[in-house]
Amino acid sequence: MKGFIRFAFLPFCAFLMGACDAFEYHPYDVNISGHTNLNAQNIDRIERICYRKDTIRFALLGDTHRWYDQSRDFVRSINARNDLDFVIHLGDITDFGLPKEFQLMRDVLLGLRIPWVALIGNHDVLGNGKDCYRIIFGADNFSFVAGNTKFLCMNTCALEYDYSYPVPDFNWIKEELRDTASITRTVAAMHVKPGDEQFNNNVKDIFQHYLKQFPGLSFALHSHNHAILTEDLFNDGIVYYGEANIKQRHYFVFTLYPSGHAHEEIFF
Amino acid sequence: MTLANSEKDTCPGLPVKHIRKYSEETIDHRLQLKKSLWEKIMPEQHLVQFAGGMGMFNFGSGWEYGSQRQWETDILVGFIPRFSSDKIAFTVTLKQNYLPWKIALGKHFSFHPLTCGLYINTVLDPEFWVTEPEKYPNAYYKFSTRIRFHAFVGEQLNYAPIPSRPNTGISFFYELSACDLYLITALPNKTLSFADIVGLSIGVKIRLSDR
Repeated sequence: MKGFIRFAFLPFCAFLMGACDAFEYHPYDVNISGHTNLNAQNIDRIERICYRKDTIRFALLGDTHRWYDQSRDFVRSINARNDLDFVIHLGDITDFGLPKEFQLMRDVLLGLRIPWVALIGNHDVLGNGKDCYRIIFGADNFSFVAGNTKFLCMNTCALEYDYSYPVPDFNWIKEELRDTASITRTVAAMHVKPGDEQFNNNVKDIFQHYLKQFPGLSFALHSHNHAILTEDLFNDGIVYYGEANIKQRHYFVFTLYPSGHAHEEIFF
Repeated sequence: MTLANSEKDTCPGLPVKHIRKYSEETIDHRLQLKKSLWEKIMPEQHLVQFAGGMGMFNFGSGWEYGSQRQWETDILVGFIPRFSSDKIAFTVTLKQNYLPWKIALGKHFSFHPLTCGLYINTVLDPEFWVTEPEKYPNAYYKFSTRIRFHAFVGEQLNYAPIPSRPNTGISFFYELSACDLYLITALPNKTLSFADIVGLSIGVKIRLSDR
Protein backbone atom coordinates (compact mmCIF):
# COMPACT_ATOMS: atom_id res chain seq x y z
CA MET A 1 0.00 0.00 0.00
CA LYS A 2 2.77 2.39 0.95
CA GLY A 3 4.41 1.62 -2.37
CA PHE A 4 1.23 2.57 -4.16
CA ILE A 5 0.99 5.89 -2.35
CA ARG A 6 4.56 6.66 -3.21
CA PHE A 7 3.85 5.84 -6.84
CA ALA A 8 0.67 7.89 -6.96
CA PHE A 9 2.35 10.91 -5.43
CA LEU A 10 5.42 10.72 -7.59
CA PRO A 11 4.22 13.47 -9.95
CA PHE A 12 3.41 15.59 -6.92
CA CYS A 13 6.93 15.27 -5.51
CA ALA A 14 8.46 15.93 -8.91
CA PHE A 15 6.51 19.17 -9.16
CA LEU A 16 7.50 20.26 -5.67
CA MET A 17 11.19 19.69 -6.33
CA GLY A 18 11.38 21.09 -9.81
CA ALA A 19 8.99 23.98 -9.88
CA CYS A 20 8.74 26.47 -7.06
CA ASP A 21 8.18 28.98 -9.85
CA ALA A 22 5.04 27.04 -10.75
CA PHE A 23 3.28 28.37 -7.65
CA GLU A 24 1.41 31.38 -8.92
CA TYR A 25 -0.44 33.36 -6.29
CA HIS A 26 -2.57 35.38 -8.67
CA PRO A 27 -2.58 36.35 -12.38
CA TYR A 28 -2.23 39.99 -11.29
CA ASP A 29 0.47 39.61 -8.62
CA VAL A 30 3.50 41.72 -9.53
CA ASN A 31 6.06 39.04 -8.69
CA ILE A 32 8.54 39.48 -11.54
CA SER A 33 11.38 37.05 -12.09
CA GLY A 34 14.17 37.33 -14.63
CA HIS A 35 15.43 40.46 -16.39
CA THR A 36 14.36 43.86 -15.07
CA ASN A 37 15.14 47.52 -15.82
CA LEU A 38 15.74 46.61 -19.45
CA ASN A 39 15.32 50.03 -21.08
CA ALA A 40 18.21 51.58 -19.14
CA GLN A 41 20.50 48.66 -20.00
CA ASN A 42 19.55 48.74 -23.68
CA ILE A 43 19.85 52.53 -23.89
CA ASP A 44 23.38 52.14 -22.61
CA ARG A 45 24.11 49.68 -25.43
CA ILE A 46 22.40 51.86 -28.09
CA GLU A 47 24.33 54.97 -27.05
CA ARG A 48 27.62 53.06 -27.16
CA ILE A 49 26.87 51.41 -30.54
CA CYS A 50 25.76 54.69 -32.14
CA TYR A 51 28.39 56.94 -30.59
CA ARG A 52 29.74 59.28 -33.30
CA LYS A 53 28.01 57.21 -35.95
CA ASP A 54 26.70 59.37 -38.81
CA THR A 55 24.12 56.93 -40.19
CA ILE A 56 21.68 55.28 -37.79
CA ARG A 57 19.27 52.54 -38.81
CA PHE A 58 16.48 51.16 -36.59
CA ALA A 59 13.35 49.06 -36.87
CA LEU A 60 9.89 49.56 -35.34
CA LEU A 61 7.77 46.98 -33.60
CA GLY A 62 4.15 47.66 -32.69
CA ASP A 63 1.32 46.07 -30.71
CA THR A 64 2.58 42.57 -29.95
CA HIS A 65 -0.39 41.73 -27.65
CA ARG A 66 -1.05 37.95 -27.78
CA TRP A 67 0.80 37.33 -31.06
CA TYR A 68 3.75 35.37 -29.71
CA ASP A 69 4.35 33.27 -32.84
CA GLN A 70 4.51 36.37 -35.05
CA SER A 71 6.73 38.18 -32.52
CA ARG A 72 9.13 35.24 -32.56
CA ASP A 73 9.22 35.44 -36.36
CA PHE A 74 9.91 39.16 -36.09
CA VAL A 75 12.89 38.43 -33.84
CA ARG A 76 14.14 35.87 -36.36
CA SER A 77 13.69 38.35 -39.23
CA ILE A 78 15.59 41.09 -37.39
CA ASN A 79 18.37 38.72 -36.30
CA ALA A 80 18.84 37.68 -39.93
CA ARG A 81 19.93 41.24 -40.82
CA ASN A 82 23.11 42.94 -39.80
CA ASP A 83 22.38 46.52 -40.88
CA LEU A 84 20.25 47.58 -37.88
CA ASP A 85 21.39 49.40 -34.75
CA PHE A 86 18.34 48.92 -32.53
CA VAL A 87 14.59 48.24 -32.31
CA ILE A 88 11.84 50.38 -30.76
CA HIS A 89 8.71 48.61 -29.47
CA LEU A 90 5.96 51.24 -29.63
CA GLY A 91 3.79 49.79 -26.85
CA ASP A 92 0.98 47.34 -26.16
CA ILE A 93 3.50 44.70 -25.27
CA THR A 94 0.64 42.78 -23.60
CA ASP A 95 -3.10 42.33 -24.09
CA PHE A 96 -4.38 42.29 -20.48
CA GLY A 97 -1.50 43.88 -18.54
CA LEU A 98 -0.77 40.51 -16.89
CA PRO A 99 2.69 39.92 -15.34
CA LYS A 100 2.79 36.56 -17.14
CA GLU A 101 2.29 38.28 -20.51
CA PHE A 102 4.99 40.87 -19.76
CA GLN A 103 7.46 38.13 -18.90
CA LEU A 104 6.58 35.86 -21.83
CA MET A 105 6.87 38.68 -24.39
CA ARG A 106 10.01 40.03 -22.72
CA ASP A 107 11.60 36.60 -23.06
CA VAL A 108 10.65 36.44 -26.76
CA LEU A 109 12.18 39.88 -27.42
CA LEU A 110 15.30 39.03 -25.39
CA GLY A 111 16.09 36.83 -28.38
CA LEU A 112 16.99 40.02 -30.31
CA ARG A 113 20.73 40.32 -30.82
CA ILE A 114 20.59 44.11 -31.17
CA PRO A 115 19.41 46.36 -28.31
CA TRP A 116 15.73 47.24 -28.04
CA VAL A 117 13.57 49.56 -25.95
CA ALA A 118 9.85 49.27 -25.24
CA LEU A 119 7.30 52.04 -24.69
CA ILE A 120 4.18 51.66 -22.56
CA GLY A 121 0.86 51.11 -24.34
CA ASN A 122 -2.67 51.47 -23.00
CA HIS A 123 -3.08 47.69 -22.58
CA ASP A 124 0.15 47.60 -20.57
CA VAL A 125 -1.41 49.90 -17.95
CA LEU A 126 -4.37 47.60 -17.18
CA GLY A 127 -4.64 45.86 -13.82
CA ASN A 128 -1.19 46.03 -12.22
CA GLY A 129 0.40 46.36 -15.66
CA LYS A 130 1.95 49.77 -15.02
CA ASP A 131 3.86 48.27 -12.06
CA CYS A 132 5.07 45.37 -14.22
CA TYR A 133 6.20 47.82 -16.91
CA ARG A 134 8.07 49.93 -14.32
CA ILE A 135 9.89 46.87 -12.94
CA ILE A 136 10.75 45.22 -16.26
CA PHE A 137 11.37 48.28 -18.45
CA GLY A 138 11.63 51.36 -16.22
CA ALA A 139 10.14 54.86 -16.34
CA ASP A 140 7.21 55.41 -18.72
CA ASN A 141 8.91 58.52 -20.19
CA PHE A 142 12.50 58.09 -21.28
CA SER A 143 14.93 59.43 -23.86
CA PHE A 144 18.19 58.39 -25.41
CA VAL A 145 20.71 59.79 -27.85
CA ALA A 146 21.83 57.78 -30.88
CA GLY A 147 24.60 59.61 -32.72
CA ASN A 148 23.36 63.18 -32.78
CA THR A 149 19.68 62.29 -32.64
CA LYS A 150 17.57 62.49 -29.53
CA PHE A 151 14.75 59.96 -29.21
CA LEU A 152 11.86 61.06 -26.99
CA CYS A 153 9.83 58.06 -25.83
CA MET A 154 6.64 59.19 -24.13
CA ASN A 155 3.62 57.74 -22.36
CA THR A 156 0.61 59.20 -24.19
CA CYS A 157 -2.10 56.77 -22.93
CA ALA A 158 -3.99 59.48 -21.04
CA LEU A 159 -7.36 57.68 -20.93
CA GLU A 160 -5.87 55.05 -18.60
CA TYR A 161 -4.99 57.61 -15.91
CA ASP A 162 -6.78 60.30 -13.96
CA TYR A 163 -5.49 63.84 -13.66
CA SER A 164 -3.26 63.02 -10.69
CA TYR A 165 -0.81 61.46 -13.14
CA PRO A 166 0.32 63.70 -16.02
CA VAL A 167 0.01 62.15 -19.50
CA PRO A 168 1.74 63.48 -21.52
CA ASP A 169 4.15 64.75 -18.87
CA PHE A 170 5.07 68.32 -19.84
CA ASN A 171 7.42 68.68 -16.87
CA TRP A 172 9.42 65.77 -18.22
CA ILE A 173 9.34 67.27 -21.75
CA LYS A 174 10.58 70.62 -20.37
CA GLU A 175 13.39 68.84 -18.53
CA GLU A 176 14.37 67.12 -21.78
CA LEU A 177 14.32 70.48 -23.61
CA ARG A 178 17.06 71.71 -21.26
CA ASP A 179 19.19 68.72 -22.19
CA THR A 180 19.72 69.15 -25.93
CA ALA A 181 23.41 70.14 -26.17
CA SER A 182 25.10 68.56 -29.23
CA ILE A 183 21.70 67.36 -30.50
CA THR A 184 20.98 68.15 -34.14
CA ARG A 185 17.89 66.02 -34.70
CA THR A 186 14.93 64.76 -32.67
CA VAL A 187 12.54 61.84 -33.20
CA ALA A 188 9.39 61.56 -31.07
CA ALA A 189 7.98 58.11 -30.24
CA MET A 190 4.71 57.31 -28.47
CA HIS A 191 2.08 54.59 -28.38
CA VAL A 192 -0.97 56.78 -29.03
CA LYS A 193 -0.90 59.58 -31.59
CA PRO A 194 -2.47 62.99 -30.92
CA GLY A 195 -6.15 63.05 -31.89
CA ASP A 196 -6.81 59.44 -30.86
CA GLU A 197 -9.46 58.76 -28.18
CA GLN A 198 -6.66 57.65 -25.79
CA PHE A 199 -4.79 60.96 -26.13
CA ASN A 200 -5.50 64.02 -23.97
CA ASN A 201 -6.69 66.01 -26.96
CA ASN A 202 -7.20 69.17 -24.95
CA VAL A 203 -3.40 69.55 -25.08
CA LYS A 204 -2.56 68.01 -28.44
CA ASP A 205 -1.62 71.39 -30.02
CA ILE A 206 0.50 72.30 -26.99
CA PHE A 207 2.10 68.86 -27.17
CA GLN A 208 3.05 69.44 -30.80
CA HIS A 209 4.22 72.95 -29.95
CA TYR A 210 6.58 71.60 -27.31
CA LEU A 211 7.89 68.84 -29.59
CA LYS A 212 8.77 71.46 -32.21
CA GLN A 213 10.97 73.28 -29.69
CA PHE A 214 13.42 70.35 -29.91
CA PRO A 215 16.34 70.74 -32.33
CA GLY A 216 15.53 69.39 -35.79
CA LEU A 217 12.29 67.56 -35.02
CA SER A 218 12.17 65.19 -38.01
CA PHE A 219 9.17 62.91 -37.56
CA ALA A 220 7.09 61.06 -34.97
CA LEU A 221 6.35 57.37 -34.45
CA HIS A 222 3.31 55.66 -32.95
CA SER A 223 1.36 52.40 -33.08
CA HIS A 224 -2.01 51.64 -31.34
CA ASN A 225 -4.16 51.89 -34.50
CA HIS A 226 -3.13 48.47 -35.83
CA ALA A 227 -2.67 50.06 -39.23
CA ILE A 228 0.22 51.26 -41.37
CA LEU A 229 -0.21 55.04 -41.33
CA THR A 230 1.69 58.00 -42.73
CA GLU A 231 0.01 61.25 -41.72
CA ASP A 232 0.94 64.90 -41.41
CA LEU A 233 -1.36 65.28 -38.40
CA PHE A 234 -0.86 69.01 -37.78
CA ASN A 235 -0.20 70.07 -41.40
CA ASP A 236 3.18 71.38 -40.33
CA GLY A 237 5.46 68.96 -42.18
CA ILE A 238 6.01 66.67 -39.17
CA VAL A 239 4.91 63.21 -40.35
CA TYR A 240 3.48 60.72 -37.85
CA TYR A 241 4.31 57.16 -38.92
CA GLY A 242 1.97 54.50 -37.54
CA GLU A 243 3.28 50.97 -37.11
CA ALA A 244 0.89 48.03 -37.69
CA ASN A 245 0.37 45.26 -35.15
CA ILE A 246 2.78 42.35 -35.39
CA LYS A 247 0.01 40.04 -36.62
CA GLN A 248 0.34 41.83 -39.97
CA ARG A 249 4.01 40.77 -40.07
CA HIS A 250 5.13 44.26 -40.98
CA TYR A 251 7.84 46.56 -39.73
CA PHE A 252 9.25 49.93 -40.69
CA VAL A 253 12.98 50.48 -41.02
CA PHE A 254 14.17 54.08 -40.66
CA THR A 255 17.59 55.29 -41.73
CA LEU A 256 18.89 58.58 -40.40
CA TYR A 257 21.50 60.07 -42.74
CA PRO A 258 23.62 63.12 -41.86
CA SER A 259 21.14 65.13 -43.91
CA GLY A 260 17.63 63.75 -44.01
CA HIS A 261 16.13 60.34 -43.46
CA ALA A 262 14.56 57.48 -45.39
CA HIS A 263 12.20 54.68 -44.48
CA GLU A 264 11.15 51.36 -45.93
CA GLU A 265 8.47 48.83 -45.11
CA ILE A 266 9.28 45.17 -44.57
CA PHE A 267 6.73 42.37 -44.73
CA PHE A 268 8.09 39.11 -43.37
CA MET B 1 -42.28 20.52 32.47
CA THR B 2 -45.08 20.60 35.01
CA LEU B 3 -47.33 23.33 33.67
CA ALA B 4 -50.48 21.29 34.34
CA ASN B 5 -49.55 20.81 37.97
CA SER B 6 -48.66 24.41 38.60
CA GLU B 7 -51.93 25.57 37.00
CA LYS B 8 -53.69 23.30 39.36
CA ASP B 9 -51.69 24.58 42.33
CA THR B 10 -52.22 28.28 41.64
CA CYS B 11 -55.95 27.87 41.23
CA PRO B 12 -57.03 25.58 43.97
CA GLY B 13 -60.72 24.73 44.03
CA LEU B 14 -61.49 25.77 40.45
CA PRO B 15 -62.59 23.07 38.07
CA VAL B 16 -60.03 22.35 35.40
CA LYS B 17 -61.41 22.77 31.86
CA HIS B 18 -58.30 22.17 29.84
CA ILE B 19 -54.77 21.08 30.55
CA ARG B 20 -52.01 21.89 28.09
CA LYS B 21 -49.30 19.31 28.46
CA TYR B 22 -45.65 19.64 27.47
CA SER B 23 -43.58 16.53 27.64
CA GLU B 24 -39.82 16.39 27.88
CA GLU B 25 -39.85 14.38 24.67
CA THR B 26 -41.56 17.10 22.60
CA ILE B 27 -38.99 19.73 23.54
CA ASP B 28 -36.17 17.32 22.94
CA HIS B 29 -37.58 16.59 19.50
CA ARG B 30 -37.73 20.30 18.64
CA LEU B 31 -34.13 20.79 19.69
CA GLN B 32 -33.25 17.84 17.53
CA LEU B 33 -34.99 19.37 14.50
CA LYS B 34 -33.17 22.67 15.00
CA LYS B 35 -29.84 20.92 15.31
CA SER B 36 -30.24 18.87 12.18
CA LEU B 37 -31.18 21.97 10.18
CA TRP B 38 -27.96 23.66 11.36
CA GLU B 39 -26.06 20.51 10.57
CA LYS B 40 -27.47 20.53 7.08
CA ILE B 41 -26.16 24.00 6.25
CA MET B 42 -23.00 23.89 8.37
CA PRO B 43 -19.81 23.50 6.27
CA GLU B 44 -18.49 19.96 6.35
CA GLN B 45 -14.93 20.75 5.39
CA HIS B 46 -12.44 23.50 6.09
CA LEU B 47 -9.39 24.03 3.93
CA VAL B 48 -6.24 26.02 3.34
CA GLN B 49 -4.99 26.27 -0.23
CA PHE B 50 -1.64 27.73 -1.22
CA ALA B 51 -1.35 29.56 -4.60
CA GLY B 52 -3.44 28.41 -7.58
CA GLY B 53 -4.07 31.90 -8.98
CA MET B 54 -6.59 32.71 -6.23
CA GLY B 55 -4.20 34.33 -3.73
CA MET B 56 -1.16 33.32 -1.71
CA PHE B 57 -2.87 31.62 1.26
CA ASN B 58 -6.58 30.96 0.85
CA PHE B 59 -8.79 29.91 3.75
CA GLY B 60 -12.19 28.40 3.09
CA SER B 61 -15.06 26.15 4.01
CA GLY B 62 -17.28 23.97 1.92
CA TRP B 63 -19.77 21.17 1.50
CA GLU B 64 -19.71 17.62 0.17
CA TYR B 65 -22.68 16.06 -1.58
CA GLY B 66 -23.75 13.43 -4.07
CA SER B 67 -24.29 9.71 -3.55
CA GLN B 68 -20.54 9.07 -3.45
CA ARG B 69 -19.74 12.50 -1.99
CA GLN B 70 -18.23 13.19 -5.40
CA TRP B 71 -19.22 16.88 -5.45
CA GLU B 72 -17.75 19.66 -3.34
CA THR B 73 -18.38 23.40 -3.23
CA ASP B 74 -15.97 25.69 -1.38
CA ILE B 75 -15.79 29.39 -0.64
CA LEU B 76 -12.32 30.78 0.02
CA VAL B 77 -10.87 34.11 1.09
CA GLY B 78 -7.24 34.90 0.26
CA PHE B 79 -4.76 37.66 -0.26
CA ILE B 80 -2.23 38.74 -2.91
CA PRO B 81 1.09 39.92 -1.43
CA ARG B 82 2.22 43.42 -2.32
CA PHE B 83 5.42 42.45 -4.16
CA SER B 84 6.14 45.39 -6.52
CA SER B 85 2.61 46.82 -6.61
CA ASP B 86 1.39 49.58 -4.31
CA LYS B 87 -0.73 47.50 -1.89
CA ILE B 88 -1.83 44.00 -0.91
CA ALA B 89 -5.21 42.91 -2.21
CA PHE B 90 -7.82 40.46 -0.94
CA THR B 91 -9.64 37.91 -3.04
CA VAL B 92 -12.76 35.73 -2.83
CA THR B 93 -13.07 32.43 -4.67
CA LEU B 94 -16.08 30.20 -5.33
CA LYS B 95 -14.87 26.71 -6.19
CA GLN B 96 -16.67 23.66 -7.57
CA ASN B 97 -14.88 20.31 -7.32
CA TYR B 98 -15.67 16.96 -8.91
CA LEU B 99 -13.99 13.83 -7.49
CA PRO B 100 -15.30 10.97 -9.62
CA TRP B 101 -13.32 8.02 -8.19
CA LYS B 102 -12.19 7.00 -4.75
CA ILE B 103 -9.74 4.15 -4.17
CA ALA B 104 -9.56 2.61 -0.68
CA LEU B 105 -6.01 2.07 0.56
CA GLY B 106 -6.36 -0.05 3.68
CA LYS B 107 -8.19 0.92 6.87
CA HIS B 108 -7.18 4.55 7.16
CA PHE B 109 -6.25 5.86 3.73
CA SER B 110 -8.10 6.51 0.51
CA PHE B 111 -7.07 8.23 -2.69
CA HIS B 112 -8.83 10.31 -5.33
CA PRO B 113 -6.82 9.74 -8.53
CA LEU B 114 -8.57 12.66 -10.24
CA THR B 115 -10.03 15.87 -8.91
CA CYS B 116 -11.17 18.53 -11.33
CA GLY B 117 -13.36 21.57 -11.47
CA LEU B 118 -13.74 25.28 -11.98
CA TYR B 119 -13.44 28.33 -9.81
CA ILE B 120 -14.32 31.99 -10.07
CA ASN B 121 -11.98 34.47 -8.41
CA THR B 122 -12.49 38.15 -7.75
CA VAL B 123 -9.98 40.78 -6.60
CA LEU B 124 -11.41 43.13 -3.97
CA ASP B 125 -9.79 46.26 -5.37
CA PRO B 126 -11.72 49.21 -6.85
CA GLU B 127 -9.04 49.67 -9.53
CA PHE B 128 -10.14 46.36 -11.04
CA TRP B 129 -13.42 46.41 -12.97
CA VAL B 130 -16.14 43.92 -13.82
CA THR B 131 -17.42 46.02 -16.70
CA GLU B 132 -15.37 48.81 -18.21
CA PRO B 133 -15.63 52.25 -16.58
CA GLU B 134 -17.76 54.74 -18.50
CA LYS B 135 -14.74 56.74 -19.66
CA TYR B 136 -14.03 54.12 -22.33
CA PRO B 137 -15.79 54.04 -25.70
CA ASN B 138 -18.13 51.03 -26.03
CA ALA B 139 -16.53 47.56 -25.87
CA TYR B 140 -13.03 49.03 -25.68
CA TYR B 141 -11.33 46.16 -23.85
CA LYS B 142 -14.03 43.45 -23.86
CA PHE B 143 -12.80 41.70 -20.69
CA SER B 144 -12.98 42.09 -16.93
CA THR B 145 -9.80 42.67 -14.91
CA ARG B 146 -11.70 41.76 -11.72
CA ILE B 147 -13.27 38.36 -12.43
CA ARG B 148 -11.12 35.38 -13.44
CA PHE B 149 -12.32 31.89 -14.30
CA HIS B 150 -9.95 29.01 -13.60
CA ALA B 151 -10.00 25.32 -14.53
CA PHE B 152 -8.01 22.70 -12.66
CA VAL B 153 -7.12 19.00 -12.40
CA GLY B 154 -5.41 17.35 -9.44
CA GLU B 155 -5.25 14.46 -7.00
CA GLN B 156 -6.14 13.98 -3.34
CA LEU B 157 -5.00 11.65 -0.55
CA ASN B 158 -7.32 11.14 2.45
CA TYR B 159 -6.55 9.93 5.95
CA ALA B 160 -9.37 8.83 8.26
CA PRO B 161 -8.20 8.16 11.85
CA ILE B 162 -11.41 6.28 12.75
CA PRO B 163 -12.13 3.51 10.21
CA SER B 164 -15.88 3.58 10.94
CA ARG B 165 -16.01 7.27 9.92
CA PRO B 166 -14.29 7.22 6.52
CA ASN B 167 -15.28 10.80 5.64
CA THR B 168 -13.87 12.37 8.78
CA GLY B 169 -10.22 13.18 8.75
CA ILE B 170 -7.60 15.09 6.88
CA SER B 171 -6.95 15.29 3.12
CA PHE B 172 -3.95 16.54 1.17
CA PHE B 173 -4.31 17.68 -2.42
CA TYR B 174 -2.53 19.35 -5.26
CA GLU B 175 -3.97 21.00 -8.37
CA LEU B 176 -2.72 22.25 -11.72
CA SER B 177 -4.73 25.22 -12.94
CA ALA B 178 -4.89 27.92 -15.60
CA CYS B 179 -7.11 30.98 -15.91
CA ASP B 180 -9.28 32.04 -18.84
CA LEU B 181 -6.86 34.74 -20.08
CA TYR B 182 -3.92 32.31 -20.04
CA LEU B 183 -5.83 29.76 -22.07
CA ILE B 184 -6.86 32.21 -24.77
CA THR B 185 -3.25 33.44 -24.86
CA ALA B 186 -1.62 30.02 -25.19
CA LEU B 187 -4.08 28.23 -27.46
CA PRO B 188 -3.56 30.23 -30.70
CA ASN B 189 0.25 30.26 -30.32
CA LYS B 190 2.26 27.24 -31.42
CA THR B 191 5.30 28.57 -29.56
CA LEU B 192 3.50 28.62 -26.18
CA SER B 193 2.91 25.38 -24.29
CA PHE B 194 0.81 24.44 -21.29
CA ALA B 195 3.97 24.57 -19.18
CA ASP B 196 4.05 28.33 -19.88
CA ILE B 197 0.62 28.94 -18.38
CA VAL B 198 -0.16 26.18 -15.85
CA GLY B 199 0.26 26.92 -12.14
CA LEU B 200 0.58 24.56 -9.20
CA SER B 201 -1.26 24.76 -5.89
CA ILE B 202 -1.30 22.57 -2.78
CA GLY B 203 -3.76 22.35 0.08
CA VAL B 204 -5.01 20.66 3.21
CA LYS B 205 -8.64 19.87 4.02
CA ILE B 206 -10.20 18.95 7.37
CA ARG B 207 -13.29 16.84 6.61
CA LEU B 208 -16.11 16.40 9.12
CA SER B 209 -18.70 14.74 6.89
CA ASP B 210 -19.57 11.75 9.13
CA ARG B 211 -21.08 13.83 11.90
